[in-house]
Amino acid sequence: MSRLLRVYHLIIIAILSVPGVLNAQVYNFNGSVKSTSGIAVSNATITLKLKDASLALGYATTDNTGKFSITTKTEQALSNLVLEVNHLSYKRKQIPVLDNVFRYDVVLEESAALLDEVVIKSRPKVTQNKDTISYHVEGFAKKEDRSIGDVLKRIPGIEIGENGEVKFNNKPISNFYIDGDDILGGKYGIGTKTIPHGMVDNVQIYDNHEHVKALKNKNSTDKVALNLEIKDDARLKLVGNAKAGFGLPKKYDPEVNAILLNKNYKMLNVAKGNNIGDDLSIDVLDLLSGPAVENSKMLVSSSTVSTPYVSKKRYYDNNSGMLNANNFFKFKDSLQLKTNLSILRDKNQIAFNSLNDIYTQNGTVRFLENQSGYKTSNLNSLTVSAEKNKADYYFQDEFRFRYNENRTSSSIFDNENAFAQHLKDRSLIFSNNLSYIPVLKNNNTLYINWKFTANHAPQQLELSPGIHEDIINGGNPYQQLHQQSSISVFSNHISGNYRINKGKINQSYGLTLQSNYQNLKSDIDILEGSYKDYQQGSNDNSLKWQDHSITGTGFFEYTENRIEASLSLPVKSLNISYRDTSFQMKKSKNYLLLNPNVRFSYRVNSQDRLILKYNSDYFIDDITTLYRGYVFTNYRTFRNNENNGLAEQRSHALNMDYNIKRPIEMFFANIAASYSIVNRNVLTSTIVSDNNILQQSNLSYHNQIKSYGINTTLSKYIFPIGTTLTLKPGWSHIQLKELINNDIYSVRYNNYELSANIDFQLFKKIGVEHRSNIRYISNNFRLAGAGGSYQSQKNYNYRQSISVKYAPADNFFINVEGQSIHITQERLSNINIYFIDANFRLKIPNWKADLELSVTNIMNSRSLTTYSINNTSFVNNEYRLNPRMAIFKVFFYF
Amino acid sequence: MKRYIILITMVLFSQLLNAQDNIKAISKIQYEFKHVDDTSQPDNPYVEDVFVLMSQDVSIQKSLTVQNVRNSINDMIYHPKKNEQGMVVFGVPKIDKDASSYEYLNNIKDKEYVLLNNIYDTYYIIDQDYPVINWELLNEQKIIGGYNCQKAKGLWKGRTYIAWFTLEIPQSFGPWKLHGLPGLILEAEDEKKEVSWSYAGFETVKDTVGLINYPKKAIKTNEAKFNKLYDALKKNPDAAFKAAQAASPTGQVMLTNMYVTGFSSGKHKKENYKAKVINNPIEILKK
Repeated sequence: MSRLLRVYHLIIIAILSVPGVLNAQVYNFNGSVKSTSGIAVSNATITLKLKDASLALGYATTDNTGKFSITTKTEQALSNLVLEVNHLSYKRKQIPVLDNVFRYDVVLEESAALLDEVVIKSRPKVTQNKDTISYHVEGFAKKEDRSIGDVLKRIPGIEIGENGEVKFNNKPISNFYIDGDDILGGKYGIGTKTIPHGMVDNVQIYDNHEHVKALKNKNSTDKVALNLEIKDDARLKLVGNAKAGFGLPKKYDPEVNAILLNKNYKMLNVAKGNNIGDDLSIDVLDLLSGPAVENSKMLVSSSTVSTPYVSKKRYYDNNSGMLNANNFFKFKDSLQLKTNLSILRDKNQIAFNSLNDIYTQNGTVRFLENQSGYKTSNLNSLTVSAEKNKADYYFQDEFRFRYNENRTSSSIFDNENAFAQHLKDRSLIFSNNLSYIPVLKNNNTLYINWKFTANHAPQQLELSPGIHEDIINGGNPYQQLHQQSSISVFSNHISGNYRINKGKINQSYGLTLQSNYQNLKSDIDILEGSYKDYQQGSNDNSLKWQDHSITGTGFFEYTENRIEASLSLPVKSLNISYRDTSFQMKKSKNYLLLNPNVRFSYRVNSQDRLILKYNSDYFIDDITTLYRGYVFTNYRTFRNNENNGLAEQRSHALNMDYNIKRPIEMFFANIAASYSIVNRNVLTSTIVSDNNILQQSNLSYHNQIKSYGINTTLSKYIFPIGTTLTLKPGWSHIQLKELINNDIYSVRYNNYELSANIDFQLFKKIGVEHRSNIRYISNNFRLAGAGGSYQSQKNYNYRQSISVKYAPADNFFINVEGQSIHITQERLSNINIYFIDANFRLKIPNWKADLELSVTNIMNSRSLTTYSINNTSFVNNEYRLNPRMAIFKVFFYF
Repeated sequence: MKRYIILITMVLFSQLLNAQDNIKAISKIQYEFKHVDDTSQPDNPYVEDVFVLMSQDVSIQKSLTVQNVRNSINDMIYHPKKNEQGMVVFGVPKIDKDASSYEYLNNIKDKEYVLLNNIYDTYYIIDQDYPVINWELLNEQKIIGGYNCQKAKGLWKGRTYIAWFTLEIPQSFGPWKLHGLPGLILEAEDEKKEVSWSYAGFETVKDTVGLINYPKKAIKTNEAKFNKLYDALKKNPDAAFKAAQAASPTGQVMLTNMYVTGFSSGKHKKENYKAKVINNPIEILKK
């Protein structure tokens, strides 16, 4: 229709509309609409309009029976009008209105034409451009922040643990990239602490991340990676920070670092030290769990006392220094090379008292330990890694070297002796890990990995004057007990994994070949004028172990609407052989092991979800529970493993998890029930009497550890005060056997725990966090099979902390925290300990500096006493705490 | 501009929802919506790009900005864009107008009108009175976007709207709750000139591009309850997130550490305006 014509019509209408030219009349049109197949058409639009103009005078839609009725008032002659019937599933129909006919029954022809007749005259504009901003750091940074780690904590979904581990939506990250390059590997903790947030433009989260380009778009991964996109101007310059910290009494805490983040060369070098209780080894923890993390097995420890259950800063009396150098080079053809070096020196003071009562049929045996001295550590590690991450293949080789040396020198008082202890341990680890992933022509993926590790860990224990003379030296006092021991391990591990990315069920098949060679040696000498072998060397261990295995694994995963199920089915054929000629021991054993793992998840309704898990595992202890000759595993414990074979255990674990969401009420709950049974073929026998020694041995005895429990988390948002209250009640029950002085005890535990957390804002300015935890442990034991009443111990532990944060000005921050610990045990006096810490920070942007004053342990609590229960024994420990400390720190940026 | 962050995170969650009944849309119209929500600042209205997807019996109005964010998240997951290092980048569109994660679903066959929204990974269906507007057809005509439009006048909950519909597009839908004319409404405004929708383009859609999502596993609620929840989220998102997160078993997707207060991206802030006092709802009367 031409525009001219339209204008013409408009004029006509305008003329016709003038009142009085024609008399308006009221008409009613009605009728029905049907399809050609006779079905009533509902929701069809009937428009009464002018014949040659798109002007509607009246309209109606058909009801469920296809009927319509239009009442309209018009001056138009009926012959000028048409009825137009529209329904998108039918062809449009126009019916001229006939004089004096007011009923129209219309039949529509079915048609899938839909809107084909409509001419598109003006499409929507092209939608906006995308920019690749994920989390713009400036938007999240606050004035009090210093490092990128401070900012990361604020980004939705990101959580940083105490050890520096970064999680996104509860999932640990798989890679920590700096400008796209993985410089730090698993030791990225130093990166979050050191990189100033000012260098970072954006924080990017890569969900469903696949690091290997050759696997891109083939695998659906659920890995999450984090990238720090560096600002353009920060890429070119060397950035440095310095911190000078000093305090009372005689405290220091300095740090210098240098950061360069070029495209092809990156470095992050840090030197720092302190004596204020900061454990620097946390900075170089490998936070990416998995087979890459190796630790040496150690046979001997310096004490029988465990570390206290408070923050390490409270008791760690240290002098530490660390150098950490990370360098990254990028070459042509996507070859990347990186080196990570860390050197840590530490000397820390040891001071604690311990009382350990073991209840036996012949009365209580008491062990006392008072130890004071120091420990020096010398930790060095170097990682060199080369990587080629190309579209057609992936190659990586990582070489790790680690040398650690620890020396403990202390004086110990036990029940009646005073003696000096020197324990020196060294550990040397080499490992190489090679991965190769080729691109396959089909959609499936293949992954090949070869890894070997060599590890040597010698230990030397000296106790002087010699103790336990009645056992060691026929009752004659002697000058020194000297024990040399070592564990060496060589392991070789080759695996291939083939994944089929097709069909409804995801399948992957793996084959692993593994060999381990282990060697355990020990030798006890007695110094009595000159060194002589304990029992003429007949007690010396020289145990050699080999195991070889081949494992085939099938993994199947099925997902449908409400159901997710997975099954992992590894079949392992294993041969273990070991020999120690001095004990005429030579054995070999074959195993065929099946360790299934099943997971089933069912969405009950839109808000509730049920997860069931079952797994069974067969576990065989290694060389450390097989040696025949006696070894001092600490100055008090004298251990061997009599005539038993391999220590084996089969475990079954069943977990049920029910998750409830009531978002309207903002109420969320999770109920987890677990049940597990472990059947073991050996039990550790402990022999104690009043001679200050604890003799242990593994004996063949079938026994079972059974445990079950329920843990609940309830969380509710309280609307009127805008805060969340979280409650975590839990209960667990454990049953096990304990063998002491040849008596077997049945031991049962009932543990009850309740945690409550609440956060709220006071006057919109003061942030308050309150945490509390109540634990009640009831422990019962009696001779197995003897009936009768149980002996019982009850322990009650209550902790709470409250922290208050306040910012009086936008560059001044105050944080005060109070903590209390309350422990009671039957028949013993109650323990109450209080801590108060305060921290004040002032930012002075003009000076490019920050000032910080922190006062810790204001109440000056000097020692921490704890009560705890361990099967048929009771432990009372007392630890020395760091006294009140005031530290003043200045931070400079350059 | 905390609402943007809330919006983006909410949108993020909506990606996780699946199993929705889909109705194929056949056409799509886009509007620019303006609303003077604070009468003391008439020159600082709420401005949002919206679009309406239509089938024969159902229409759904969504925010274009939210949809763009959604698309970019889908892109990230299903068609990842790679940066120089070959890594997938999560791109978020520029947000230069207001946006809301509300969706408006109109089912003319069942006479059902609901609002849809999601908080975290849960969809909500909020019941509304079914809008029945007795339109008075007027003779005035004008051309909008090339289509010949006719004027109509109707009253809904305290406001009288002037709507311009075209018989050239025989679909009786329009923006928000305005519908029921014999053709598509291309433009509408209330008589006080406080609420308006101006035409920004029309097209027919094919394939699955314009699916009208009909969430199956949604929770039915009413406006008062939902607003209480939404306000709580806005007031103290951190605590709200903690509530949601605390009870989740491992693997469940939940957000933590939501410090939204004080966030300003520097782009969305409307310079020289004071904070709004929302005092002028679209629906003035209850009936």
